[in-house]
Amino acid sequence: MIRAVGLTKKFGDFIAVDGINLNVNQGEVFGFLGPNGAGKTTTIKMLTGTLKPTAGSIEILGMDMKNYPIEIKRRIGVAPDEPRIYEHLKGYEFLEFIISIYKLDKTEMKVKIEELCDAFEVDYLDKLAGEMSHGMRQKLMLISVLMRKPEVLFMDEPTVGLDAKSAKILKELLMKYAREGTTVFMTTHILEIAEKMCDRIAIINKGQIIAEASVSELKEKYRASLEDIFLSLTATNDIKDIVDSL
Amino acid sequence: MLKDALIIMGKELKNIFRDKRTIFSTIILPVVLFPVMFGIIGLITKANEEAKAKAEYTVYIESTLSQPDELTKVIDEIHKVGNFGIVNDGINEKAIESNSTAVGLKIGKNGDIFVATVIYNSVKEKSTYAAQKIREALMNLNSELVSAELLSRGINPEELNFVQVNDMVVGVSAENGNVEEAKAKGQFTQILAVLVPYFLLIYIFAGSMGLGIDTTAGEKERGSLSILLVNQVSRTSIALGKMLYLMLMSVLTSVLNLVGLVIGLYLEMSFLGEANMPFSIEIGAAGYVLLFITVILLALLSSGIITLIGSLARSVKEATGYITPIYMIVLLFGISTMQSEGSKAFYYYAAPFINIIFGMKDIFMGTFSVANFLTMFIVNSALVVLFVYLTAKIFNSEKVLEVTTE
Repeated sequence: MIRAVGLTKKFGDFIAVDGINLNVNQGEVFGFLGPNGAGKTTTIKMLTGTLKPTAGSIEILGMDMKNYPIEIKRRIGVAPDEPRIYEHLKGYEFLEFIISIYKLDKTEMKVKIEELCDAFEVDYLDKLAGEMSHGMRQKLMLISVLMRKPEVLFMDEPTVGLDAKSAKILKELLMKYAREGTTVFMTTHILEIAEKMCDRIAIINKGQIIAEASVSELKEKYRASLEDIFLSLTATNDIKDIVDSL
Repeated sequence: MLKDALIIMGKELKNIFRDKRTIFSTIILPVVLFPVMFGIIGLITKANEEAKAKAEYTVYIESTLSQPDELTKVIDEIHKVGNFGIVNDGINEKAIESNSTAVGLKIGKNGDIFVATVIYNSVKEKSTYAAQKIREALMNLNSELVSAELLSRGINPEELNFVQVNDMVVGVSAENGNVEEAKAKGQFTQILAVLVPYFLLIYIFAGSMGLGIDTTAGEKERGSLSILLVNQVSRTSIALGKMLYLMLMSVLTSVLNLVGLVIGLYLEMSFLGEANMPFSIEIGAAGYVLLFITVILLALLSSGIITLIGSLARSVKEATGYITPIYMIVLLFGISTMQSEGSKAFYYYAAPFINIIFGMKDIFMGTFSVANFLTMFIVNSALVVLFVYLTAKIFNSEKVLEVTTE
């Protein structure tokens, strides 16, 4: 479903992503973890066709990103880390915009939107996006992606800004979609989510993948909690010293 | 691709018409501003003219005329042209300087010729007006004296005309053969040929500027562009959609501004008693079609260059910095060609923006040439294609995502 070989992204002299390889199978929930600035968002942007890799290749749903960017975008869904929706569009106008871009069946979408709105308790579609809170916009963005039920989902910090109930629903829904064959590629800083949801995780640090396995395999290998494994691998285990010095 | 571009355009339009400030500045202000502005100018001018005509003026006279009836003739003529009180005991310069309704007249004779000096304060409008009226009275006296002298010598003054001049008007304004009407229409066409290309050029460019920067560099800054980029729509369609939106908005702005301008001019003329000026032009159906094509070309050209620069810029501030000098150049083109007539040398029609000004002037003045119009059309179309191509290239590269908030 998602294949990346030698994926590299340079911004001038700075190497944001350094020759990583990824292989995510159909129906898998794949967690992409890493500290701030590790290269998670840059990787997602390359995998979703927003940024062009400096080197390496990307294959999504068996199609090369270089040759089939539009076809790939038609079949994937992306929920960015920041739900930057056009401020002067009302909620339903934004959804209509997405429906017209993807040339989707309006009646079918209306049903799906209603279902998702009920699930996420969204009753503000006639409100302007500029008047919505971060969490409200995040839910709207998720609905715009989930209503299409894409074959591959890229979720960048999907639970940020969501209330506990909505976050729980989203997690359950993503796992349900995965069981039905959807591939989910998600980044998160909340290790508990990764532990509970992800079939496999990869930890990226300074642009390089430093670990890739299932949570149970990692725990067995390092004989520690995911949090401790993450902190030790990303060289941020000097927390006690930092706290003591404050 | 065009369908996607139209969807993007629709989204932009929906987005912009939610903003009350944009609705006010794009739709309401142009239609209201000019009528209010020109209406006020007309009212003030009319009130001034009426005040000047109704005012009571004092003429201080210093006369060295030996015959009392000669001075009486002068005073009679002065009374005929306005509301003048006469003070015949010399020039009071202080009063003339301080009082705007006072003028002075020194009058005497050199042989048979009346020699007069009008004294007035040129800074004061009423004093200047009164001086003009005194001059008018003296010229009337001159005509009377000339006529009387000729008649005393047995010559009819009207027989002294050896040249008779009649007008015959040709061109777009003279189609129905009525010379006076054709003259008035010609005058109106001249006004339009000066104003319309200038205002269209300025409004279309200025109208595109703010919106163009907002939809390109502004979207980058707000981060909303990335939503478009991850969705199933080609980047060329995004670029085209934004250009179409800008073009539509700039044409709408310019049309509304023109409507406001014409209403404003009509109001001003009405207040000044010149409402009989025909507010119509006779450029024919083909002329309107050509004018429409020219306006669209101008809108496309402006939108193209602004979208291109806005897409290149990393922030609204940077985009404004890049586009302002271009706007100044366009403004200079408009001002420098305002008084020029149409039908220029071939190379004028090869220069972007300038060729549009002369293209419009040609249509108004009836000096249209197929070769010049085609040159203008081809040059501007080629530039528009180039701008779309370059903008699409930027959208297809990562330049479109480069943002700086500095």
